Amino acid sequence: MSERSEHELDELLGRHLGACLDGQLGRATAAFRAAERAERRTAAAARWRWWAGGAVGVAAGVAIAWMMFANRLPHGSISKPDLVTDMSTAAVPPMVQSTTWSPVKDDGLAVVDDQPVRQWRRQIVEEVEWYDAKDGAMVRTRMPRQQIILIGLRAD
Amino acid sequence: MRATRVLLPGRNVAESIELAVAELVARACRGDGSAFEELIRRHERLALGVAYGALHDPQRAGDAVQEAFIRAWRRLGDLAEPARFGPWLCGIVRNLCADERRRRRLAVCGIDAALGEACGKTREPAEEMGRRELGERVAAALRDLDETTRTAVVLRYYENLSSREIGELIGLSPAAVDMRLMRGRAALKEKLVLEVNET
Repeated sequence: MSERSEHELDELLGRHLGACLDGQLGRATAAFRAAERAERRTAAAARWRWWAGGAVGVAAGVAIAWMMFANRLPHGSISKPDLVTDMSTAAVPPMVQSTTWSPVKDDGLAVVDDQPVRQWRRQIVEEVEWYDAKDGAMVRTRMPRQQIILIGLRAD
Repeated sequence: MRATRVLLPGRNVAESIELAVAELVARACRGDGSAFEELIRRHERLALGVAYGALHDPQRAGDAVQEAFIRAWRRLGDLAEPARFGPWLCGIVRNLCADERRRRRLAVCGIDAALGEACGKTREPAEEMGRRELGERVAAALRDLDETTRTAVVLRYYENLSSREIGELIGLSPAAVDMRLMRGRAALKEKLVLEVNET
């Protein structure tokens, strides 16, 4: 094989490969730029979603904390309640003291429906005192009541 | 055309190139897109040569190289030795080419030849037809080589790499590369010498 042929073969191969492959140059750069742009857009969208989710989470947490704290205020405050409504919910059962007076008074005779009767009057005073050791609250109530007792008399 | 060499003081050419590539890889790892584009510019011909050697189809080679660079960008953090970006990239290219060959194993064989014959029947100037036919014969002669020999031939004649550089990329010693090149040229000569003389 002559040197000229060797040289021509080398040139032929170089030309052929250049003609085949040079047309593909630049594709990788273009594809990389497109992929980088797409990844940047995806990353920006992911960041926005993260921040939005975080803001929603924080808002939800604040709302839940407010609801819990707001509901605790009536139980947490230390003030003398005017009326104990539900003692069963207290963690420490309050002490209760109850006192009742009921003197009876003879009112003498009375006529009811043209019938003579003996009239007795009972006056009842109930005093109830609640003391809640947990809160140091004390409530005292006094309830007066009156009962009229009529005793029929025999006419014979 | 070879890539531009940046010679740093106190270092030889090869070391300077490796440092430049390592620096580009480091910058690309930090998200510098322009650094990775420079890596593409420096290694695209090399990657095309490896892909063409494996697939023997310019379009599919371009597809594989495109995908290889995108994968390399995404996995750049896995590269243990930044200076060896070229061989690492060639490994990705070869894997993609192997996947592509597996996918096309069921494709109809000879369809390219049939298309070639169909194209050959169109009317075109005689000179153009002669050039195209010669190109087809060169392509057919290259296709008849085994993949490793074809890759070595392509990298030598397209990218003008030395035997040592080719060996680093395809995992052969320089002596083994020289042997492959010698056999490849002999086989091509046998098939093409008549066409060379005719041109």
